[in-house]
Amino acid sequence: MVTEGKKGMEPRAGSALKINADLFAAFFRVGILGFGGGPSAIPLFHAEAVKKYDWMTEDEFSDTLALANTMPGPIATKMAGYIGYRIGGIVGSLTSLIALVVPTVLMMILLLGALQQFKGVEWVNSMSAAVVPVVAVMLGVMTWDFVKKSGQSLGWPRAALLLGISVLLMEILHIHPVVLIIGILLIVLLGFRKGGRTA
Amino acid sequence: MIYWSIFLAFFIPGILGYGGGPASIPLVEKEVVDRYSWMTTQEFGEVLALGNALPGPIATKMAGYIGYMEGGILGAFVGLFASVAPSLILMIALMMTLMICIFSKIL
Repeated sequence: MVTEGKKGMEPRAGSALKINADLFAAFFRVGILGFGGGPSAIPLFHAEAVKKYDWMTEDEFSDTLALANTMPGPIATKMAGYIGYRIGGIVGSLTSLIALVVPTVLMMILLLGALQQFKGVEWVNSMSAAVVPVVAVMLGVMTWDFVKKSGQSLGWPRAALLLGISVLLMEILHIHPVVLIIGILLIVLLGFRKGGRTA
Repeated sequence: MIYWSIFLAFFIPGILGYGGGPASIPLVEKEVVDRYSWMTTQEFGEVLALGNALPGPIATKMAGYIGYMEGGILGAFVGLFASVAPSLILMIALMMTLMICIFSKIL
């Protein structure tokens, strides 16, 4: 799996300031240039960490990505935080996260704040009403992606069964999705225990 | 206490949303609109649309903005921390464990 473990174990020699400046520049670019949320920014991470700065080999990058994908939570922050940690320790991790997250959050707060000022102006109101169908399409596309993905990984009959059960539990019986997710995780976990190492 | 609510509202989607930030948006909506009623569905849709028009990870933009609206700068920080830290700590811990396993095999 990881071929060059040594590279990752201790923070590299060299000026800490330089390392943190590099980390900041790299993840600032990733944050400010990636549209469409974290997952679509993954190629940018690859370009910075492997091609430009040589912080990781191809293999290490794909191992890290695979592992990050098996875990919950936003993917971009897991990648940036982990790469930063490997290169520059805890400080490196924080630098990377700040570079990735803060610029776009600030843009968001400023932009929405400016928009609030014009609340009540006719065209702003119709603009925000018109934006709702766009969100519907966006979420629809994402939903279809997930349906396709689950069909490919589980097989269509099983995926359809699980989809049906989820719709029933969430929309008709109004069970909170969190309960459902924890339930499924537990079932899978116990299932593997019983069946030995099926994976 | 508002900061605790903000923490919970973003901690739960952060720890249970598989498939990256965009996949956790419905979970965020569930907390922000249904449970805490900080926004209406309409408002949430507007914020989400604007968030998508801007670059960068979407989960953190939502957490930062909603946290800021509800609890000011500290609220934004709490929201960001709750969505980022738990899964990142999990990731680092797991990678360290893997590294140690590989090393002990070599030695």
